[in-house]
Amino acid sequence: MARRARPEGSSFRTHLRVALSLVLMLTALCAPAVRAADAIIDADRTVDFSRVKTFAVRRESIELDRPEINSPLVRSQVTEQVRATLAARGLKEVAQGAADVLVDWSAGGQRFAINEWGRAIPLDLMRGGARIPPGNPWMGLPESFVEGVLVIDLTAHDTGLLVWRGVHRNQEGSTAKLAHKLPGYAKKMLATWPPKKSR
Amino acid sequence: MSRLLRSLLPLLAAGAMLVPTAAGAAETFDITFEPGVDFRALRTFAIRGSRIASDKPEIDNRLFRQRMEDSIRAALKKQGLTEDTTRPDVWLTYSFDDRDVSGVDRQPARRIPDSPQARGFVIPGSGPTPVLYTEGTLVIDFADAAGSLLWRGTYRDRETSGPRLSRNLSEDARRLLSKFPPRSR
Repeated sequence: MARRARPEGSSFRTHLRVALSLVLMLTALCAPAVRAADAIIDADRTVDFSRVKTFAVRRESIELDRPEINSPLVRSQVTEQVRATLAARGLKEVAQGAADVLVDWSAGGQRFAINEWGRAIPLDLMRGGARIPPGNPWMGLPESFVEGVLVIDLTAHDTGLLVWRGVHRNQEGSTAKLAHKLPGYAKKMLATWPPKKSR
Repeated sequence: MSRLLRSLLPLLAAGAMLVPTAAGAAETFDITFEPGVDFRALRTFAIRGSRIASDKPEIDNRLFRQRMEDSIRAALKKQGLTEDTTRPDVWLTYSFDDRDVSGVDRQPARRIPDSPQARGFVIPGSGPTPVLYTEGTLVIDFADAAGSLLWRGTYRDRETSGPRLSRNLSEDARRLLSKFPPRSR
């Protein structure tokens, strides 16, 4: 059978189309399409942050009850990262009683499984404290991903008011991966210190 | 338009269709008001309070409230109102609640038709893919000194991340208040 003649350059275009379609397919298939990594930092506009010179770490907590993350090692890694980043930004660590700001951080997360219909099912406490009821077959599903959150608070020592809060959310493939990423989240948020003066 | 660009158009269209839609940033708002009120006569306002029903740390904190109230003040000043905390013409209150939603996104297979330069082909469907998003509802109320509701704006925002929702809420408030005072029907 005679083949249809193609115009010059059609081979290049065909390759381009195939390459583009592959990119599109990969994008569609690889994207977990859940929640994107995102962070927000809020700072009190009434505070002159240039006067904040000293800090002390007050509270550290990990609210996900899994051994990979709820360990003294992860706790100290995050705290050390907080210390190092704030020191690099010009703050000095002092005793709690003498600090301008007190640093509290907490890490948490929600583990999800994916059921047979592709829906994400929370494996830990759901909103309002409800759990998947015992005997539900979803209870035995393996963890598919974790939505992790790290909250860092800076509270003014003299007023007791929250003056800076950073919240970082991201999805990781497992609780262990989340544990490894927490120091990075802390560094990313605190690297923006001091906050820019709002107009 | 060049032939190359024309031949790529079906691909670009298919690409646009592949973008997950279930959690797309969907925003809707609604305004209701008391029809007999002369809103043009209202010149001063005060923020009376807020109610935040969210367990998200990026929303349930005093810094978020501060940012929200700054946005509300700026929006109302732009509309010609001034703040008077002693005897305002209207009292403003705002409330916010949210809920996390777990959905599923499916993309059917797409057929890209033949073009003069190349044969058509089929992009296979994808999914089901889990989609998580948060739907937040912001309500802003204006009431008179007697406490009667004069104006209510409701804004629903759907975002795929809590920080993004928190960031957008102050802008959502500004958009709602750009509809104040209402045009008489």
